[in-house]
Amino acid sequence: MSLPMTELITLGFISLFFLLSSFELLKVASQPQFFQIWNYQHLRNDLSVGLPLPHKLTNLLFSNQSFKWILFLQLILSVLLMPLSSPWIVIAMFLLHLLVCIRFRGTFNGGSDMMAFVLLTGALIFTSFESPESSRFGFLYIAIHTIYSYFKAGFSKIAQKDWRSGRALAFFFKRSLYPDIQKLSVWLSNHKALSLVACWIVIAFEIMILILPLFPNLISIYFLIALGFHFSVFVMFGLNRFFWIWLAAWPSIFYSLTAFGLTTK
Amino acid sequence: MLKPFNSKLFLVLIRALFPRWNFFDFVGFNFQISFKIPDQNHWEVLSFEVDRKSLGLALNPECNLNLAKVNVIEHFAQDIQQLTMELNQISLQDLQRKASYLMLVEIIKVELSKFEINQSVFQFKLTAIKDSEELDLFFSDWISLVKS
Repeated sequence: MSLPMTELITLGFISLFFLLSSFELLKVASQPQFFQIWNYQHLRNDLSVGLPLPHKLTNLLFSNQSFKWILFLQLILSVLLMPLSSPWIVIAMFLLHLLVCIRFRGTFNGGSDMMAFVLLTGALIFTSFESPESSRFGFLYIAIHTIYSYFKAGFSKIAQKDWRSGRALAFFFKRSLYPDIQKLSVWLSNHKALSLVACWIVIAFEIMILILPLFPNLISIYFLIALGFHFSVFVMFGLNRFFWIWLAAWPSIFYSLTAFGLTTK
Repeated sequence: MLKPFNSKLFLVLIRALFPRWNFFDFVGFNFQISFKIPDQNHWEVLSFEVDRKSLGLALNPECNLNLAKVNVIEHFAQDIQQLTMELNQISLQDLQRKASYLMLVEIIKVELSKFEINQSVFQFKLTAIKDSEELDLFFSDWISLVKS
């Protein structure tokens, strides 16, 4: 994959992710219950001692009205990101995303928010430099984080007895908000052999990301399995944002494996 | 008077900047909220289940909103644990000042508004569950159902 093509696709997916996120949060914030719960009055104490900002600025940035403006601004910037490819837009999106995360006391959607920051940091590097020799490090940054994310997720599961013994998946399915997946959890608990195999398939898939630098011709197959994996995470837990932001990271892996000689071939 | 800056809380608020990739690794406790109204002897479990939406892969606001509500419950459980470590003995007043408590009370009010309840107050409890083990972590006072 060429450098300009990688940049175009990556920015396109980052735009799409923030476009969908902004729409989603605007829809959520339009419900009266949202500001009944995530009201600035409830957050004020935490924010006044937890942020090194003047109180007036905290009031301005985190008022209920500001939250909607932040989302509108995020929506506009995500439309402008791909055609303009400007580091200033990336910086602005970084700050707006941080404000959104702080409103939810750290993250709205856990790992997807963290990966969004990784993507934005990478985008800041590759949009800031004109020369390909420097800008390509933005893709390397994203690729290393993404490869590590799969590996770390698998490695931390191996360390847990419940994953090694096959109990973990049934437990996590039980926590799903979808009733059909909660039923699947009960079914899986009664089919221990199948549960064991399923747990080890997840672990093996995540750990095996490390074989890509050794066997780069497997990248397309691994990518297709990864798509299926993220789609199944969405089906099981409703985590749609994980699907889009990890998809946005994959062009950087395709590019970096060849551009940086990370492969052995 | 200026309140002192809390660096621990600062790191919690900006934690999305420091990625942790150990998803779904540790099988810990599930947290459950139950409520009770006057003249009712049993605790009713509050459910945050959602229906699947056809275009959910693109936009899934109901599910993400409910996931955020579940996060608030987990934050409240963490706050109880943290206060217990810091103060040995925690008072209801300590907890009632927490953002997680204030938000959780509103979440319960929102959920109760979906039922036809002819009462003006409710009580809730937080329970930690793992396998067959259940541990009640917190019992609230009677709380007014009127929006604050």
